[in-house]
Amino acid sequence: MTTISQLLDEWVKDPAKKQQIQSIHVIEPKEAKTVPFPQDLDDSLIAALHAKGISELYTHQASAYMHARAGESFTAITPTASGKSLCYHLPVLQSIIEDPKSRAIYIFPTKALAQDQKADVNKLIEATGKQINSFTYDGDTEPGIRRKVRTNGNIILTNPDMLHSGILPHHTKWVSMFENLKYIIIDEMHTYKGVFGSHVAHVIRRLKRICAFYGSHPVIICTSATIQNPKELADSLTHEDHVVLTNNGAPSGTKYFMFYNPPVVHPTYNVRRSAVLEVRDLAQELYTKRLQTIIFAKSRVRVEMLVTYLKALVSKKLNDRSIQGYRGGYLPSERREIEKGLRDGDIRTVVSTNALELGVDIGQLQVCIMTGYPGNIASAWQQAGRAGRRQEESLVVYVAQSTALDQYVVDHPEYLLGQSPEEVRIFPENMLILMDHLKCASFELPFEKLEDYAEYHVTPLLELLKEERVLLETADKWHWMAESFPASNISLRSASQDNVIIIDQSVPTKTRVIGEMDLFSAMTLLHEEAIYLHQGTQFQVELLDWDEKKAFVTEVDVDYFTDANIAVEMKVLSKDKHRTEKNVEMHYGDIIVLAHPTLFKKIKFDTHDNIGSGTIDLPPLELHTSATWITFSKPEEGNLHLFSDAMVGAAYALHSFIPLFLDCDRKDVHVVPQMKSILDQQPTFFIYDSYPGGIGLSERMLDRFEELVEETHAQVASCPCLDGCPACIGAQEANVGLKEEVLLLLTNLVRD
Amino acid sequence: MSYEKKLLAMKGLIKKQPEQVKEPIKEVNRPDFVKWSSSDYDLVHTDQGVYYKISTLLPHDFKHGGTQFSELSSLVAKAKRDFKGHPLTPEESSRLFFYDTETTGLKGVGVHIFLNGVLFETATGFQLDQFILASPQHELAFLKALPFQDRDTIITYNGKSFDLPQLEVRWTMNRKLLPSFPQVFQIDLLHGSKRLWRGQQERYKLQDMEREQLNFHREDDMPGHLAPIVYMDAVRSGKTENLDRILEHNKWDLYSLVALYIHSLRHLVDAPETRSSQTELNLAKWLRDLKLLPNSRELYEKVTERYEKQDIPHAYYYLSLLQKREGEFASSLDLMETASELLVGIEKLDALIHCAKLAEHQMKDLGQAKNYVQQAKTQLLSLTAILTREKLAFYLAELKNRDERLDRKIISRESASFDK
Repeated sequence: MTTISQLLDEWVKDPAKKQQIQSIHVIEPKEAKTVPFPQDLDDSLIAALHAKGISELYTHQASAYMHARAGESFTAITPTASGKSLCYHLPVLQSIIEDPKSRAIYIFPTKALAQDQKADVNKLIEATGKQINSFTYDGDTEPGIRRKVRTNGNIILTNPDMLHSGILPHHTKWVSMFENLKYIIIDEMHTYKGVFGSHVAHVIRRLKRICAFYGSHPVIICTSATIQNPKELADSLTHEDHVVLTNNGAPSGTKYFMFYNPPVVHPTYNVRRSAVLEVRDLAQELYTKRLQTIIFAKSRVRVEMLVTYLKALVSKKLNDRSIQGYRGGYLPSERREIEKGLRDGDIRTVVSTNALELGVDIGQLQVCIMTGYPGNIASAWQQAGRAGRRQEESLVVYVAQSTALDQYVVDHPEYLLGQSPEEVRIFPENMLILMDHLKCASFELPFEKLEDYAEYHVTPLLELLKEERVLLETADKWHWMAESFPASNISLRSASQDNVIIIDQSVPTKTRVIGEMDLFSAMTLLHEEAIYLHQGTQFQVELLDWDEKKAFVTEVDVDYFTDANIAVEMKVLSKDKHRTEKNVEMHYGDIIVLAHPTLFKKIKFDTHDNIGSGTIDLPPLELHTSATWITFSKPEEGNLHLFSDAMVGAAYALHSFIPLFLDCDRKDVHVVPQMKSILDQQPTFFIYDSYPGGIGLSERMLDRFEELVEETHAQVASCPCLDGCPACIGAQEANVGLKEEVLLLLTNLVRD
Repeated sequence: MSYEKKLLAMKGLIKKQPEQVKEPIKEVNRPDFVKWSSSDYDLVHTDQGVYYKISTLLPHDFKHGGTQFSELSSLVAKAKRDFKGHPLTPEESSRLFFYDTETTGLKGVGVHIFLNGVLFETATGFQLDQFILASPQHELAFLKALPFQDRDTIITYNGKSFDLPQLEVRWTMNRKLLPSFPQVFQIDLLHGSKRLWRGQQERYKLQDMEREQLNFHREDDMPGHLAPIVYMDAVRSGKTENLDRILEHNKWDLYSLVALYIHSLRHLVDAPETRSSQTELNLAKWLRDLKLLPNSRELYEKVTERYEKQDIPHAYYYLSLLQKREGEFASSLDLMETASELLVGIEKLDALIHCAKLAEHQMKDLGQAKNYVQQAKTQLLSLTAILTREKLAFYLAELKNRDERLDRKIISRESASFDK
């Protein structure tokens, strides 16, 4: 077996690898900081901890216990594998030991995670020898045992969706739980972001409202990966004042962070060798050197691909299980077995989606490989945290893909390693989301006259619901007076209300759904005759049923792609904020985006010849949302006939780098350039939220626009391509010089 | 303006806290419920609020469809005497209430019960009380008007899954102002109907029972699924024409509930001539499942006497099992053999296996047992297409084990006699 330092020595001397290793950073080891068990901790719990080999608590666990016992809501920021779950298990179990009627709700972002954690808490309970019931309650819970869970469960492990549609609208069946609820645990808080997080914020508000009705005031405990704004997020998610605990006392060994960029294989377009192949080669080497390795890949398909490649290593051995995949869709029993194999060391290489990022106990491995940037810093650190046995050296290898963001990260290791992760934004004020949950809350308990809903004065909204004949106003209350069950019409997870479903009908007897797409994108990518690419396979759209929101596609093999033109019109409804900076004027406010697809072109691969076109017959789509827009005067120097193309290129680049600042997906915001805005005939960039009513992302870009431009400029300038590539301003025609124009334009935006 | 636009236009109005102190509650002179136009409803005032009520008195000999209500008390008395512990039999000294609700929806705590219909026997006949929710604000008075107490028996149609849970939801919503929910007994006639008339009806809605069993036809009935919108309209507009028709619908539901209870009890205790062989078998099986074995056996015996055996093979099958319990092995095997000849499919297979068991363990006739196993194997082979893989494996293993054990026993018996 090789040690990590030996391996690194070998690699930096290897002429082939040396080229690709862009940098290596060392994170110094940390000693454990521990304190004795709290005075009041029950003997049975102390015995259980001793049985696990724990004789003292880490500092963060001890302060968590202290705050919980003092009745203060808190958020614990802890890296992977730092004994996070004890931060809440201890106070919860202590409260149940003191009063067996006590209850706690654990909320996990997914059903699978709740089921995984049940095993964890049950092990601890068993070791105490106490009679404490913990159950999962979700869509998989057998109807036969639901009553038992409701009446006897001390600890209920569930997910926000079940709380929203299965528990809160039926709260009278849970009287004894709500009356005795001492703790609400929100694990993996950083996963509650954007639209989903905003929905969950309301589910928590509804939960608290019902607790108040039954006379309980539970302490709320959140745990989170490192993000920039934990307190803001926790406060906003739970509408409660949180203390943030960052005194992580868990030890760690020396960690090497390697930034690895695959070789360029197509210099003109700046295309690099596939990260998957590169990872395969590295992993094979690690396997033969007997270093226990976890590989993160972004999709299930890639996981399966890598597993297949790697299993070739052991194809001659019978029943070898030393290389395994791990992803959603595996059975719980399979997952348990893989987790155990990892802890025991029987499994030497595991390939996983981000499923293993979250708090599943698999012990610590020696090497972690990331196939591409996972999208945000919090995830990257969660993944990196999987490597690093106590006091031992570990290695994290980041293998970049060709995309803009991946290349940025490989060039700027300080972005990952520096202590300034992204902000996680939620926006419970979104009127549509707020209204959805106001309906649910009214259904659950009638609002009193002048009662506030969490931090909102909602009387005008209740008036509106009365007009809509959903509520009935009486002398003292607003009563639900409609036949519907509001929670069933509101899904916490879908970004927009109706997506277009993509149905593959290549084999008429085996039609299957292969994906879905939001309406805005569907207009340009799923119109009839469009060539739709799905995981590398070409499909032609045969029929787009706009009313039913279904696109029927058939697999084809053609040598062209389609490119749709869309006329986008912006109407400004209100200006809420304003800022003038050097050459630009910035506004934030409400806008209406009116998108109207016009025609599409068929463009041949390689030559990019236009080989045909057609019209798109779809109604215009209206999106009422919030936006930040930046207006500036047309520069005097530069190639003016390229100016509009430069605007498009700049918008492309700006759009790519927004996720550096906000933890969001690229598709959550749009950047649209306008040559002459209808406002004042000046060139304008609109940055708007993709979700009706806005989700708070574009608002933040008002404050951070200069940073965005600076970063974008630096990255475009340092991109090794000649004329523009997908990693910077999008693919461009050669020898036009657009890249310089874009750089000039960006410079103009921020400099005198 | 669309709903969405209205909503987004309100963005400025929803101010987040902290804000200036709340305005004091404005005194609005809003009536706390809408006075209804109909004069048939009595407005009842209580300390907790108001509710509307309509009482209807019925004579003892009231007839609904083909059913005379006066039969009720004697049938109940007989059931208490002969069928103690049966789900249709009320507990001793428990008051009987027939109960049916109308609600504003199907599930969840936002659903209101707006009509409680309660029918019970009085000294002079029967009385139907319909309580109507005047406004959700007056729910407490409306709930308190219900006569239910501990140990009462509440007879419903699907009330175990719907009406009573709904009532408990409303109770819990007002729990601070109400005593705890009374401990009542329940008789749910939906369950009873499904047992008694299994295999004879496709659907078991109350109106299917009226048509199939009670000889009653509603005319001009307002369908129950309209009840929510009718009430919601009435409570907003004060107009009650349609609500009257919902009250009528509820009244028919309750009359049919009484009639169906009488009809079901008659089958249980009286063995009417009109009872079909299928119903008799259903009832006998039901009694058996309830462990009311003497009642069950008596009925099976009656059935085997009364009907041609080819019509009632199941009776032979179950009667055989009951006799086996009582140690009457020879006649039990006789009956099971008859059943195995008459039954088909998997049931025939099961009967043959029972025969083999009886022959082997009780009659100690190994040759005959072997014969049954052989027949069972043949039968199993004809079923390979129907059985699931698990079932098939189960039967194969079962027969194989039995066969091998029989062979061993035969050999050891032969060698034992040879040794002699």
